Amino acid sequence: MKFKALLTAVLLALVLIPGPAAAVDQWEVPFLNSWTGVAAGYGKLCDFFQKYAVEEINAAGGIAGKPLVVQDCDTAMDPTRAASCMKKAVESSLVVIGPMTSLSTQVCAPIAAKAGVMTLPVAGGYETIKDSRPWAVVLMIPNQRRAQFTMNTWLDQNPNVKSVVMLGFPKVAQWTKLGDLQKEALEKRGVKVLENIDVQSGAVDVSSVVVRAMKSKPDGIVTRLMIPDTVRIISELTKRGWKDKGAIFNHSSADSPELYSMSAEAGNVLEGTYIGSWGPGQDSEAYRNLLAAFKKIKGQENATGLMWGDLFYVATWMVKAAIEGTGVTGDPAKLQEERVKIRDYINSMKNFDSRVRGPIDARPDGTFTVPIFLARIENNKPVIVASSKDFKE
Amino acid sequence: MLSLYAENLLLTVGVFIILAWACYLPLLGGQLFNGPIYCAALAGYFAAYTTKTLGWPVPLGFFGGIAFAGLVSYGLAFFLAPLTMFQMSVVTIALIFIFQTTFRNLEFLGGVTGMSGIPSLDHLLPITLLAVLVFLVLLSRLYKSRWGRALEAVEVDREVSAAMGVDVNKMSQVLQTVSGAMGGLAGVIYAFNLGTIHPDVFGFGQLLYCFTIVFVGGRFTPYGPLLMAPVLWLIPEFFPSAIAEFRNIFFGAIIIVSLLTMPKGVITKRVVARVENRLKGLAGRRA
Repeated sequence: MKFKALLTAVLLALVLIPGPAAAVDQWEVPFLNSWTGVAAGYGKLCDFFQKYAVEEINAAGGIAGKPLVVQDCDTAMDPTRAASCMKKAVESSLVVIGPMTSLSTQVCAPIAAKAGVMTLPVAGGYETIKDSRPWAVVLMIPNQRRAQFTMNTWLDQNPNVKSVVMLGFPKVAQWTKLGDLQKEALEKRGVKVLENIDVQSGAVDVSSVVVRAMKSKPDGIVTRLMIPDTVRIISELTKRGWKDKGAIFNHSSADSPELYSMSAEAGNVLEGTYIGSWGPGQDSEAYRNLLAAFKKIKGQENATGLMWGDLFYVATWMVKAAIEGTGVTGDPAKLQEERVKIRDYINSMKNFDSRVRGPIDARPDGTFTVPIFLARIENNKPVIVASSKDFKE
Repeated sequence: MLSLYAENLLLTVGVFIILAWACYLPLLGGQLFNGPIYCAALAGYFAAYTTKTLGWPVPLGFFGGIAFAGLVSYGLAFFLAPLTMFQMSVVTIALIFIFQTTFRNLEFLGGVTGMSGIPSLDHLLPITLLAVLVFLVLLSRLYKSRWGRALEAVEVDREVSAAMGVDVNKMSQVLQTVSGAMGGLAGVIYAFNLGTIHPDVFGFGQLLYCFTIVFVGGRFTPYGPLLMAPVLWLIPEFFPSAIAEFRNIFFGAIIIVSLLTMPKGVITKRVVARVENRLKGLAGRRA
């Protein structure tokens, strides 16, 4: 009887005694993103998802009862400006969301690590955070695995492809690096890479590039391009008589609702081609709401998925989980100690409810288990053919 | 004690001032020399490679980088010195692309992703501020010296100056070497400050940015870059993110308006003379 009473008292105490109260009126979290510069299109997409998460979090009572306020800093895809943003961010923040691009991450992650602040570059590429572990995590799978997965599964669908020409936008260093890894994966399967052609973004006329590519008489084409350039190149290939659409693979950089709208406008030119896809999201209310908002606010009525911008949505919810899960207060006097708590919490997340991508786990290398897919474009929609979750190297 | 952000701000502005002065100096002698940009990259990569990969002491990498950039610039000056203003401009732009492409393709320098994890240099901020001060004094003296006037003469008419006994080629070589070393200094400060160097940083965009600082600030005195480097860097820094996409329009409009209304730049020789006279007047009144 006494034991029962004692147990009840302890349980009551645990329920009734409040956890450490927040020492701040609001949680200020810096968000580093590219609103301008070459990657502004992607940046605005990421901004939409990040801000949507903030709205949802605040509508649901904020973080530990205090509102979440995001401090935007535009890295403009310029490493000098990105460094400036991060140096400002690490002065008094518990955690930082972003930056978005690999180049900015390469500069910013070491600054955050040196200052002892956890940063969530999300899409910055695993290779760029390797030296800044455990102070940085990314949600995308490493390029090496991504290249192995996409090239092998695409070749499985196209056993007759024995030679390819690669077309890539050279200004994004990680894409160039990815191109090297794709080449490695193709050559391992005995496929010859005839040429690797640089395609500048926004070129009005891409005929010379396409003529050059077709002159080599490849069996397949692999692209790593921005969205409009992907449509332009494939339209030109079609116009010049390219028949086997299945022998065209597009890097996931192009997988966006805009791609499918543009393809439809250009006469369904992408029909039958393959793409590295971010896939459909989780079957959840949060996902359906986010997709509906995306369709409405961003005018993407035909959207079937959210591309990778929603990873910033996930990251923002991660921040909420970390602050609430560690019970940090935001007290400036305990800043360093609380930063370490946040770092350890995020690095050991297991079965984290991402709300839109299913439950995800932190891996020891600093990546999360968000899968990517190989999809075939049918009726201007990506139809999933294979998942990286099932892929064995 | 400065915050990390304020320190970075001063270092970044310092880099741009030195880089802009490196572009300004050859202009005094009528040379559109774009070498400071590739020299900054050469020095930055040299310092990064020697300190990170070869394990050289950081100060040695710092000075080695500057010397390396100066030497490359000196070597190239033998071929570039006889060129006209426009030939030199075109050739040095081509050199920017050549060096950039080379860095992109050298795997031991990190290839397309560049080099990260460059060790840091202690007292980088005082060194940078001291360098800015020293260059300010030297360029101010040059601007008023016989050498400065000789440079001006070469700018106005190269042939006449040569006929009057000015060794135009030698002058060009000296200008290019000093300008290259100054660019190198900017490059090593950049690399040690950010701990990263990337082939795309010192490219055509950086060149345009530096010449914007020089031309908008005023290309006839060394004080223009001193004023415009912080102004142009800080405009985007304090621009509200809600209207960030209009930032470049605003930035461009400032440049167009300032160049249309002040073709010689914000700080002209007349402005400098007026300020000097006023200062002299104040000093006289006090005396």
